[in-house]
Amino acid sequence: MNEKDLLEKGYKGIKGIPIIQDPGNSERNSATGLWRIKRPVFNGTQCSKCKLCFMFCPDSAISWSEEGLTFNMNTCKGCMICAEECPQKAISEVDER
Amino acid sequence: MKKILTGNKTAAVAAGLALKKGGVIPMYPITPQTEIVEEIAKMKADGELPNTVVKNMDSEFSVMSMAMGAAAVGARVFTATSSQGFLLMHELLYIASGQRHPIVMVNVSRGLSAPITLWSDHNDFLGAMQTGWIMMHAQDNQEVLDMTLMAFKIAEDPRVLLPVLVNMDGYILSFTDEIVDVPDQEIVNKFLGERKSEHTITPDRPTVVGTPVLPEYSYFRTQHHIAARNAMQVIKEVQDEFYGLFGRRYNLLADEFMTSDAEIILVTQGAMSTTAREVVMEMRDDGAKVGLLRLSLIRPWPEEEIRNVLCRAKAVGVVDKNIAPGKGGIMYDEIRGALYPVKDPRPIVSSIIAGLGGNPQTKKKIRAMFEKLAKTTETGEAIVEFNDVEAI
Amino acid sequence: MADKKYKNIKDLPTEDILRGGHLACAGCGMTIALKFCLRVLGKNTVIANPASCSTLLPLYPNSPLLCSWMHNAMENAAPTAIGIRSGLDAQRKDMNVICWAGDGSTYDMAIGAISFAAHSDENIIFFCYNNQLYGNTGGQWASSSPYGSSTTTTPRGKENAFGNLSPTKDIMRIMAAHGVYVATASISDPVDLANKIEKAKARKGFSYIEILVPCTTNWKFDPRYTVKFAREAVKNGMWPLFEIENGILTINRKFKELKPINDFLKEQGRFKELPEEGAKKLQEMVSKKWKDLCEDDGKPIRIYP
Repeated sequence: MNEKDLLEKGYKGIKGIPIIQDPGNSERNSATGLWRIKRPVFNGTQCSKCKLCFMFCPDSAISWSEEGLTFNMNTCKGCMICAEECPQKAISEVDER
Repeated sequence: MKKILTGNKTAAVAAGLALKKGGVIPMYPITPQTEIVEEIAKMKADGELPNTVVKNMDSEFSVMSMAMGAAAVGARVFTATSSQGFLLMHELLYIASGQRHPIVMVNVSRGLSAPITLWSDHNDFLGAMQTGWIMMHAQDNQEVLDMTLMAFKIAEDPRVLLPVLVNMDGYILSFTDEIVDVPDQEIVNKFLGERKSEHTITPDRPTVVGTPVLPEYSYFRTQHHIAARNAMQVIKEVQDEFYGLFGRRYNLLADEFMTSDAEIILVTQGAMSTTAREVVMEMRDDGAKVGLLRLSLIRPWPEEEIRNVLCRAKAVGVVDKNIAPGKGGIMYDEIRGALYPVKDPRPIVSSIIAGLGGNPQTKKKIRAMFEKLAKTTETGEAIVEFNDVEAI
Repeated sequence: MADKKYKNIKDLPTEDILRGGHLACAGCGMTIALKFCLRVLGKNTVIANPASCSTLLPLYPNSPLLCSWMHNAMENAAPTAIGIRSGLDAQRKDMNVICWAGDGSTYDMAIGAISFAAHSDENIIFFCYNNQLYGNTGGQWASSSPYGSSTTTTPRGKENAFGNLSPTKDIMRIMAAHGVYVATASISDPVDLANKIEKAKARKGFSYIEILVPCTTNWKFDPRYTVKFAREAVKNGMWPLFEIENGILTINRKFKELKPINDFLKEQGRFKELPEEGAKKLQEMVSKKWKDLCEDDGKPIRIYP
């Protein structure tokens, strides 16, 4: 684009400043789940509801509700720290493919 | 109210006026700027800056870091430095302008090591022309005050949002008493108001400042360039508003003196310009058709306005109080470039390196410059002249 | 000493301020540490971040954070935080101001500026997450790298099989000499970390908290063992948990006897090929440090301002 047009119409105000004012949007937009080579599988019968898995997950991919634990497969990278830290061994791993 | 103030004290007074309602001033001493921070510290200790945080830091690098941190949360920031300190913060100058913080900094020009010197020279701030800051150059203490006040208005304008540097010559202005008209606090409050911004961190607006980018770098850097170019329009508006409130008229884009029919024009910047103006008046009395262009805005570069002033002259001499070793004067090429689009006959543009390391340029020396330039109109060849080349 | 606010892991706040979708390695210890810290500090926080692994957590246009974050050059997290605190004070606003810096920046480049910030006792909490090398550039040596570890700039070779020959810098005593609150923490002990953050907040001055974050990529182990290695490092004395508050040193997790470090060394790629001589020397250094620490436990560290 030539400079004359840029100067007349090209200024985008604060959209042209390198800031991000949409907090937490990476959870919706960034599919880091594509990195997985292993995925965690939850075994509800073993679980003692200690919620240590939720406390330690580096990607905040575990959420707890009345029904139990769900994994956000969009962002889970398959690091398996949840499986390692679970005292009841209620999370196991399977290959992603 | 008219007061007798040194350049340094003027800068401190300007900071006090602009930051009266609140702000942050990080400080670090360096000759010849030390008096600025001493004066600000005294103002704080006397209770004249009740809402301003004034802090001594451990290096100029920390001073600029603190300025950026404070600007990122929406505070108004002022600081001051000089040669070596200015260079120490060089990495951060790019970050401060890239993150679009409207910081105002007064630089008191001093020659660069090595060899170590204390007297004034323009290499320090001209070495930072690529950093994306807006740069203005004052020629007397009144301008130091006025430019600093205008700088806040220009920097905080939403079309600009860039840091501003106001330069003054060390020793020649910084330690010299001149009469300065200090405006009333109420008029300054009306002119500047309080800082308002939309791209800063506040408790109810979580923001990530200065994010890493990948392909978008080119977009952001271009936006930065557009903002810097837009600043010229904003500067015109601010100087008109300044005239309306304070009664002093400025022409920051091209401060010309008696150039409309001049055959020989000298281009200078800084305190030397006031001496050169007197020489022009004397030579005009003797019948010589001479004029002066004073560069008061270095970035953004007002190329068109400069070209319009210089295009009809026969000879132009660019006085550089700086040198890029291995090339020559830094502003010489900027002026030659500005005159390139002019159709023949173009002025003959010569370079004069004078005043390196603070050697005083007397009226006699400036008159000699005009005489040498007059000779170039006869020979048709540009010259590159060096003053003060002998070891004393 | 005030009653500890948090007694077990169920007492900790559970709102996640660091969300998913960030670009840290799978199983990154630093993100676990950041989550714990931000859960305690809350949304009303500004983080001053120098160039380090965490720099790439936000990448335009996505941010995983619900709080504010300011990027800056590698050596100026502390003065930037001073500026943030001053700017908030000048506008009469209050937020938590913290620094989130890596060990490379803290131990080497930025130490002058951090010393200044500690000396001025500004109301900021300085977190150093320590993975014992320059992580973001691929695992180079830093003054925080332990003796015998192999990094890409202190590799094992034919002439030198020991890797890094220099010990770590005792930054805890350096920071304690400024008279501020200093503490070590580990991601395996979030309750201890949370109590230390509460102490730092209550102090309203400068506090230095260093968290051990095992690095799966550069220490070379399977990502699932990140928290396990942090736990082991505490139990075998390579990362003792202690704090220095009001000049008095207290060990927070005491053990009758330290576990030997051999298992810890064998299971990480950076220590696996350390010759036995080196492993013995490292064990001696670790044991001596623990012994001295136990002797100083409960005693004042004298500083003369």
